[in-house]
Amino acid sequence: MRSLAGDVSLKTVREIIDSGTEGNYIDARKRLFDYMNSLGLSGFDIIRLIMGALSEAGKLSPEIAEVLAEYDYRLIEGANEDIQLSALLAHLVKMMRVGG
Amino acid sequence: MWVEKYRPSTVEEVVGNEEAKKEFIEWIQRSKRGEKRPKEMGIFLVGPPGTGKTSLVHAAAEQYNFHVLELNASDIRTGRRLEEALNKIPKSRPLDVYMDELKFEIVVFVDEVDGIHGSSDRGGLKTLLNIAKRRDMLMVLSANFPDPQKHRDLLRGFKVIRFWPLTTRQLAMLLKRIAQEEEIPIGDEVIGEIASRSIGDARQAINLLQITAAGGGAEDVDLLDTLPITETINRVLTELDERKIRRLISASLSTPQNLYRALAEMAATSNLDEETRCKVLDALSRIDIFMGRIMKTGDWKMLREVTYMIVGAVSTLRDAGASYVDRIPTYIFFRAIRARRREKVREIALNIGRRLQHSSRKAIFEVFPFLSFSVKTGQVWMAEALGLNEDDVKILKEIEL
Repeated sequence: MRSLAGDVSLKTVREIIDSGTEGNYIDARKRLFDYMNSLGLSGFDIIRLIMGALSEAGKLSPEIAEVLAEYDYRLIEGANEDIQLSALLAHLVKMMRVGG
Repeated sequence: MWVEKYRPSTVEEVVGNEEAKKEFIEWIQRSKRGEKRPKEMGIFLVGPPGTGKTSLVHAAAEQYNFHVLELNASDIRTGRRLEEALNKIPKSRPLDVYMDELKFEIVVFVDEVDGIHGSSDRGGLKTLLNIAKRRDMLMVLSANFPDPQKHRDLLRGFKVIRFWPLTTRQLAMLLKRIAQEEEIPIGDEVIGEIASRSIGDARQAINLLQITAAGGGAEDVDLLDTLPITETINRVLTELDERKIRRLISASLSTPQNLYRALAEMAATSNLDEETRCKVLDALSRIDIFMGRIMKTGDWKMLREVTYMIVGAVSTLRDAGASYVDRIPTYIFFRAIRARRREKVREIALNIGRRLQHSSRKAIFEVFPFLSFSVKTGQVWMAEALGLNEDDVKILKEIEL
């Protein structure tokens, strides 16, 4: 049961990213923030979830891992989480589309 | 957000401006009967923000059964999305459409026409007028403060319907209804205070209510300070001279964060292509890093450089035709709502973790989805067994999976 329940958050995050790569960035971003707000998650939690979701889907390329690491750092250095996460999502969406 | 949740779904529910509502509906019905006269191009809703212009269009659409095709300034300019969207609307019409003898079933709605501006947009207004001449649809425009000179053709060719700011009483009644629905304990004085601070703007009033309910501090409720941001952005976007842009930005630098955050909001919610969006958000993300440094070190000299960086982001956004629609950037809510919620969620997680000998992190990611699902389907016993009270269950129910 534990593993089953644990999958839910990964699945949600994966759906959000998928919706972004299908061209619905605006919607994906809104869902990401709604999800974050409803669970009271921090930006770091989100990055960890994205990482988990992508690696589970076999889509965690070194380039993408680098982007995630970069934004992990920017979250520490920056002043505003929402901007950093919006930028991260835009970046991911672009990369994953170009990479097919 | 409550603004969306409580958006009126019928014309009656739109608060205030009865005269304007009546006029609008009459027009809709007349045009529907095909009595749209050649010289009348459509309807032009004019009035300050939050007085129900957009809500009325959507509520009427629901009630009188027509599609609303919402376009923004950049759609008009390129004309690209318009054809695309028009083609998507099903060609086969339901039978009752014929029964009603509908002459149109599409309303093209251009919100905030005053956002179409500058010499670069001269083509924009022209395209708009061309679309309006089509007989198979009705065009509805809205604007907060139309310019008598620039929007001359629109003010002359369209039926102008004026909207007035809502009265404090009307706002208070609206707020009260929402407060009841949300079951938030809030006194009449607070409601009155919010109503009078919202200066006739229903959207602002509802937003303030939500922030207050979420326990936002005084700094969050001081939203009136952020209103000039919209103004600044609109002026910055219409200005082509970089020096003037810098001056405008510096003038608003009492709250530099608000400005670039609003720009980020704009980049993230406009219909941009992926390349541009990524580029602008990356630039803003780097600006944010500098801002973080400024705040950590207290070295405000760096703002000079930051101003230059903001100018760059502005011109990219302008060239891409981004437009700013929200009057209060959503990050302000997110900050207030999330901070409060995070606290509560963490507390519940900690308690559950203690009972199950888990970390609170595990509780959030592994127990919460399961619990949330079970309370949503009416199974409360599990939550009760974990020692959660009614408030906690309410929070679990609000979790989006």
